[in-house]
Amino acid sequence: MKYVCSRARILALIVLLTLTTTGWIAPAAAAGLELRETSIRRNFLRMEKGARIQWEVFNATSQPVSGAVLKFTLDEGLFQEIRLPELTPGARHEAGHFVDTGLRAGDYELKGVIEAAGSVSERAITIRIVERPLPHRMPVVMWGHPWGGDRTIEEAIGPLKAIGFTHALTNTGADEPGRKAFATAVWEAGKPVPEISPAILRRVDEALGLGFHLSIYASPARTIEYNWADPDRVTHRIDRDGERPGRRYSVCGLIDEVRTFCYNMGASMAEALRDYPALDSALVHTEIRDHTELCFHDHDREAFRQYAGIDIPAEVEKTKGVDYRQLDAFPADRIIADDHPILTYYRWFWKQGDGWNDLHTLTHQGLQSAGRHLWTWFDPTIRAPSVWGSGGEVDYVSHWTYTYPNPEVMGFSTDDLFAMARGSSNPDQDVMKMTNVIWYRSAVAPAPRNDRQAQWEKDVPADAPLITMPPDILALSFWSKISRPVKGIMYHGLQSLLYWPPQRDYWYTNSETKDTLRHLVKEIIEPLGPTLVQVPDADAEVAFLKSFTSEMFAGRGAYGWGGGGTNAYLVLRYAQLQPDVVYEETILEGALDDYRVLVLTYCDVLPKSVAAKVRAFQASGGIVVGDEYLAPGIIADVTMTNPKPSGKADAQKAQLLHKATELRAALNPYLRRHLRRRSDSDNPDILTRVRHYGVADYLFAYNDKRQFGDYIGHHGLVMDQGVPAQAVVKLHRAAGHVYDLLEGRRVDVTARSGWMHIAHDFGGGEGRLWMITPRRIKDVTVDAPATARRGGPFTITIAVVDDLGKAVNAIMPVRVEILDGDGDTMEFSGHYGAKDGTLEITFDIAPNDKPGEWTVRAVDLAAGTQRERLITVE
Amino acid sequence: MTKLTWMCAVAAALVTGSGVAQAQLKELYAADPAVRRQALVEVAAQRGREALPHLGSALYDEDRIVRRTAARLLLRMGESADDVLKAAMNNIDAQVRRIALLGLRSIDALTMDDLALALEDEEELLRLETVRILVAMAPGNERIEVLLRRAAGDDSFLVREEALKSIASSGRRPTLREQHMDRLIETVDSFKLPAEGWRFRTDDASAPSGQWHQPDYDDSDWAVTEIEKPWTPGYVGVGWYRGWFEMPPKSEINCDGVEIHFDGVDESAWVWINGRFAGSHDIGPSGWDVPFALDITDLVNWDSRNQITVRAMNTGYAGGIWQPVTVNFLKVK
Repeated sequence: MKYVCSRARILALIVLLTLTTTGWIAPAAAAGLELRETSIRRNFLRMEKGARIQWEVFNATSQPVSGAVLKFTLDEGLFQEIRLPELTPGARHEAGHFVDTGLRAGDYELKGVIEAAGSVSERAITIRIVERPLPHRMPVVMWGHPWGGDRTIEEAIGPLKAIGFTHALTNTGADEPGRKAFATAVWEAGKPVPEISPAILRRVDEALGLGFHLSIYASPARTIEYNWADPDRVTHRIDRDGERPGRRYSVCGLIDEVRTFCYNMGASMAEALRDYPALDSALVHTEIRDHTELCFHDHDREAFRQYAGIDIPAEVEKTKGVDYRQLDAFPADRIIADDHPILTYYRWFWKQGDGWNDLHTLTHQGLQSAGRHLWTWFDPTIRAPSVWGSGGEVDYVSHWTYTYPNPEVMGFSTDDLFAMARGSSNPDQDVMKMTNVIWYRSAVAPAPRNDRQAQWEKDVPADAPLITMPPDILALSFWSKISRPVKGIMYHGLQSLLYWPPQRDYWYTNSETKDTLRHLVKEIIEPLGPTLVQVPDADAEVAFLKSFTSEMFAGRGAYGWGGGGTNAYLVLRYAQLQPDVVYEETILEGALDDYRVLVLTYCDVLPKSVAAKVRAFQASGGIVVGDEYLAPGIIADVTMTNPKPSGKADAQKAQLLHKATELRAALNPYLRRHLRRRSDSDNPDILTRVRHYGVADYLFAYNDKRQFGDYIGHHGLVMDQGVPAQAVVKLHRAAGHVYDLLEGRRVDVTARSGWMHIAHDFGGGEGRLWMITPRRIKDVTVDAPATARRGGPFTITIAVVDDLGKAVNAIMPVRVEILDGDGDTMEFSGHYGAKDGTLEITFDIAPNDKPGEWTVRAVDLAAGTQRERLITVE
Repeated sequence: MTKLTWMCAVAAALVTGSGVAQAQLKELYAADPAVRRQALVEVAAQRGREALPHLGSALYDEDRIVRRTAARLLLRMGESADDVLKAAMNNIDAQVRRIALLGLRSIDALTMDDLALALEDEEELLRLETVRILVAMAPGNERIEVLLRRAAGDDSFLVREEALKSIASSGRRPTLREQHMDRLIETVDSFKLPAEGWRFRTDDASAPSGQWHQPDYDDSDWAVTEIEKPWTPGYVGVGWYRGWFEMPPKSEINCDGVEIHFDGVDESAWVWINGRFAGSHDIGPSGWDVPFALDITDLVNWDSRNQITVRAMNTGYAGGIWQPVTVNFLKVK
């Protein structure tokens, strides 16, 4: 795109040139002035405030130079001319000008010309104005990226954009020495040092030009563990004997210097990246609580004494509790006092005593200190016991999940995250969810069989440790997580998702997986993501307790892996129940009032207050489902033993389905009066889930019928291939109109006995999403002025209306197309989630936009109705 | 007391109209089990001992949740429900029997005969609960030991595991792989246990197996045997292996952990190293050809001789340690 404009126009609209030095103007004595841009940025967001480029004029001669003139042109049109002061030999003159980001999105050539003593030197750069991202876009984050090598930024990001990724993770330095230098500088200064490597800044700037975002890896405490900060290692944890525990360095989170350092590192990044809008987010620490250790500094002991009024109990030896069987006089009913010293200690340790939650908070606060909000997340959040606080006050808690052998484990860990976020001291904390594309080969496809090998097993080395997850499992994991109200999705394992040599630990063994992900992101997240991020969950009537006390006294807990109560949770899902994970703290808040069924698996030991709440719940009619490990002090109404371990994936799933049938049989008499199942399926392989906003239900259904395929299935450990299945999916709603949000059309269904029945033939690994509204969607309306002037704003109002002409009280998916007179797609075209059925867009017409008849078109993605409006742009 | 007796008591209560309001009593016999259950809860809360006949009757309700709710409410009534709970030990609903067992235990009304009988119950969870009660009573008398040994041969792996824990000195520890699931684990060295030189004996639960895992136990009268092949064809039951292996000096191996890897035990196994419980492999008959590994990092003695005991159980066809056993030295990458 070329922009030819008058000098006066540009002077009026575009550039403010500020001379930072002034002086006596002497006649030109010599040429040899050099002009160069000193700022890194070349790419700017449309309407970005304060966007500027820094220039420097350098006198490289041995003589003073005076009378020089600096001229700037934009796309060959002169727009500024400046007489420079005299420059002595070696002098530098700095100038910074603001870029008018109100221009139409596109590339522009910006040229600087110096004329001095008859000679001319010039410098041209290309700047790019890019469209702003649309509101409520769901982030699709590539967690981890092997930056470097010979790849250009386009080559590094292009393949990710093609799949639909919006973000990738980057580090604070282009290489390890760079990262180390940054951390060391901040540690030694004892204050923020906003000096991130120019290579990283350039990467961030170039990413913006590609319409891509980056997230910074902010892990200050880990840099201490790497020995980049605190080289004297005075911050390490110590055991009772004063020795360093464990095999790995573990920083003590209660040391003031460490806490300050975390804030300063966050603040350093925030300041250094303040003017780089493509860097909009940060990962705060990662994978640190797996190896947290007890610590026995004097200040640790004193902190606990202050908290509890007692010393650290002598029985405490490790982070994950003390086996109750080893404790004398343990109550036979396994109901213990709330202030049991050991319980008190571990509650303190995991909430505040190990320091990590506060370190996350401090890092997060540092990252916000430059006046621009960077959204932050922590993972893997639930590699910690089930007690509130993991993640501190970051904006999002996340967790990565290996979804073998059953993709619905994704749902369990996602629901677990919601339970954790519910108790955060950041009341706005929410949830994102990551899928690990890499799978441990040893767990899913160990030593190759002689009788049968997949092609990939012949192609990769026998000791290749990590392989690509199967496409159908990725699809089911995807549906499992987006059927929950997550605010973003993430994937890890770029080198297993894409062919990205050199291959070392991560191997690319299935090319279909990326195609599946691309399809899911392009067909579901891009059009429907802005809707999904705004639709809350439906109220659940089943609670699933993850008992912190049992984790500490009986070694229970899933810790984000497949253990603990995972199988019991899967049984609930196959029984077509929609449980919430709750913690003991949730129960103590009175949450059981909202539920009708409470599931207690692996709840060997409970505190008295929780036991009292459970008994009160039963006394008020609530049904308790227990297992073989339930504390004898609680008597279950229904006993559901945990599925027995099996080495065979098909046998294991058969067990889950069988137990689901048994549970349904037990609960069925109560469903009508005491438990309202929101959704159902006549085929237990079709898992259902409901979200709700306003008058609308959003019904998800995905086909978990699987068999052993020819990728890894022949090992018998994972049923990796989806199989078609038919089902009648039901929504507990007497009447309504059903819309297929994937196809954008109304669906004919039947309604009887208070249920709506939707028959569907599912493909292997397929998921569906229907929206149900009480009234029929009739139309979409577009309101905009008949005329608009370039350089000014105009407002577009869109509404999706029902047969009464009222905006639908729902989050409505809408596609908007804004076309100029030439039919080119303009900024703000794309997908929206229209809250309460309405949408308002303020469009800023650029002074260099094309006049003519513009078109604004809106398509309602539920019913498929569309309208357009013409605007004369003058 | 039989179901009929309880029904008579309830009928009498209805006729006399004593205690409970007629409307509430009607709800006890409503068609909807949810209504019956809620009425039971309210009757128990409001009427105390007067509710006993109704709760006793509800133990025979056609709906399982109503039955178990009644049992739970009886348990909460303490000693006054002693007779009803004793009767409930014969209830047709296994979970009601289990709740009754817990109730009787809570009021200290269980006898050793009750426990012995409960160990014969067809319900796995009731037997499991019984074992837990026995373990909690230990160190007890010889009768308890005998009952626990019997339970260690139970058909249910849950019951077996619980009984064996009373023999073991500690629970299974997470393996290095489990501790570092997000890390690659490299085997830096390994050696195979000798196939020869093992001792073996079968276990008919009549002998004092409680000491067989101790390193200093005198096994000289046990049969000499080999591993890496099934035991005597056709033997179905429990067999114990005892063997020894040498560990190198720790300085020779740069590793983060040690595991013992079994290529196959037909079909379940419990393992002790130097008298300490390492863990088990007990996934039922399908486990006969499933390899497994146990963490023994903290159990082995470096640069010396180590004793290993394996209790193997077979429920059909061949049995025993029929595949090689390897000690692996692991490094976290």
